[in-house]
Amino acid sequence: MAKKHLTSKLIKLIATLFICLLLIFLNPLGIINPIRGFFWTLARPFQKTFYILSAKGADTLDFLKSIGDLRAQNEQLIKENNDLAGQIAQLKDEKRENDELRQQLNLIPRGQYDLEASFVIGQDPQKLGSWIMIDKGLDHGIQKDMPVIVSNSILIGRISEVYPTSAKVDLLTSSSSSINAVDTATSARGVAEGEYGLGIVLNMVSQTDTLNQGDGVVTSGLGGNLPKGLLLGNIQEIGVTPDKLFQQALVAPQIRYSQLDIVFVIKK
Amino acid sequence: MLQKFIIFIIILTAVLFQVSVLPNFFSPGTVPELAMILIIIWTVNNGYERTIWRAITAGLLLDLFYFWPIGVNIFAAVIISYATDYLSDRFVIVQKTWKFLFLVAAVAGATIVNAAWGNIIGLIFKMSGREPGFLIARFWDARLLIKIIIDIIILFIVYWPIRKLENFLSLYGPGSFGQKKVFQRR
Repeated sequence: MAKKHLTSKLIKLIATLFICLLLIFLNPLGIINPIRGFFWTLARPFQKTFYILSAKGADTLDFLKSIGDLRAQNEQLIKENNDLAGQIAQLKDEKRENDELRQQLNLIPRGQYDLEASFVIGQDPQKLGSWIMIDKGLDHGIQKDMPVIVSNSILIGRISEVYPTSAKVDLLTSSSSSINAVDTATSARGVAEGEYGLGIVLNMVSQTDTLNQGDGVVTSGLGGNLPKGLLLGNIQEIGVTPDKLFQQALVAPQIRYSQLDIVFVIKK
Repeated sequence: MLQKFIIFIIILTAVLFQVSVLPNFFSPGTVPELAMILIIIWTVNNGYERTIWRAITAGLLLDLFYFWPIGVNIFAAVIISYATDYLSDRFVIVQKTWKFLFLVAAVAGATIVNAAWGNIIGLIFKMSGREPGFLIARFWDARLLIKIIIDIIILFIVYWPIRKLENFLSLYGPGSFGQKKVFQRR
C-alpha cells in the first residue's frame, strides 16, 4: 500500500516537473505578459506602500549606523562644498557662453525634457540587481526604450516592459544594457555595457584614445533615442580587452541603484 | 475555502515582501527567500501532498514578479518540497528534537539548490541564444553564504507565527497543522 502511494506521489512529481520544463522552454516570455501585468496592477498599491515604508525604515537604520561617521563625513562635505562652489561660479560663466553660442547656432536648449516622475515600487531581489519596477506605465504615456534618470540628469536605465500602471526599467548594470558613451574630459568614445549586475564597462574604446581615472562618462547621443550628455558614472579602472585591440574601463555608477525611490522618465 | 484564501494571501505577501520590502534592507544577492522558507516549514509539518499546491502557487507568483519564464520557480519549489518531505520522512524520527535542526539544514540546502537551479537555467538559455536576463554571474561567492545565514535567521523569525496561524486556521479546515503527517506514519 505504502509502495503504491509513493509511486503515485512520484508520478505526480514527474508530471509537474515535465509541465514546468515545457512551460520554461516552449512558452515565449511575451505570452504571459498580460497575466504578469494583471498581477503587477493588482499588487501596485500594496507594493508602493510597502516600498515607501521599508525605504524609510532602511534610511532610519542607515542613519543610526552612520552616526559614528557623521563628523568625518561633515568635514569632507564642507570641503567638497567649497570646491563645488568654485566650480559652480566657473560653470555659470560657461553656461552663459554656451547658451549664447547655441542661440547663434539655432540649437534646442539642452536638458529641457518632458519628465514623468515615478516612485520605485520593486526591484530585482536576485544577485544581479538588474531591474527596478516603477509605478507609471502606458496610462501615463510611458513607452518602451524611454530613458530613466534621477536628479542632475544621471541616467540609470531604460524602460524594457510597459504595463498599464507600471513599467520595468532595465538598469545600466543589466546584461541587456548597451549604450553609446563618451568620456567628458577626453572625448574618447565607446560602448557602455552592463556586466550582469556587477557594474558598467566602457568597451570598444580605441587604443589611440585617452581614458583617465575619475573622468565622467556620458551618453554620446549616437545610434539610439537617448539624449546626449546624460551621466552614466565615473571611470574607476582602465584596462585592455583580452585580444588587446581595444581599451576598456570599469565605470562606477554615480548612485546606488538599490537605494532609489523616485526616478524620472524622459518622455520627449 | 477561507483557509485556502488566507494561505494565498500569506504567499502573495511573502512574494511582495521579497520584491518590494526586503531589497531595501539587504544587498542584491542576499535578499532572503521568504516564500521558499514558508514552503519548507509547511512541507515538514504537513507533508508534500498537502503542500504541493502551495509550492506551485508560490513558484508561479515568484515567476510572475521576478520576470522569470513561467515554470522556473515552480520547478524549484516543487523539487524542494518533495526533497524536504523525502528527507524528513527518514531523518525526523523524534519530531521535536530533530525537527528544527532538520529545518535549518533544509533551508540551507534549498538556498544552494535554488541558486544552482537559477544558474543552470540561465546557462541553458544563454547557450540556446536566448538572453536569460536573470543569469547569476557566479554560483558560489560570499554572498551565497551570507544568504544562507540570513535565510536561517528568517526561518527562526517566521516559524512560530506561521505555526500559530496554521493552528488557528485548522479550525476552518480539515486536519491540524503538523498532525496529518503523524497519522500518515501510523
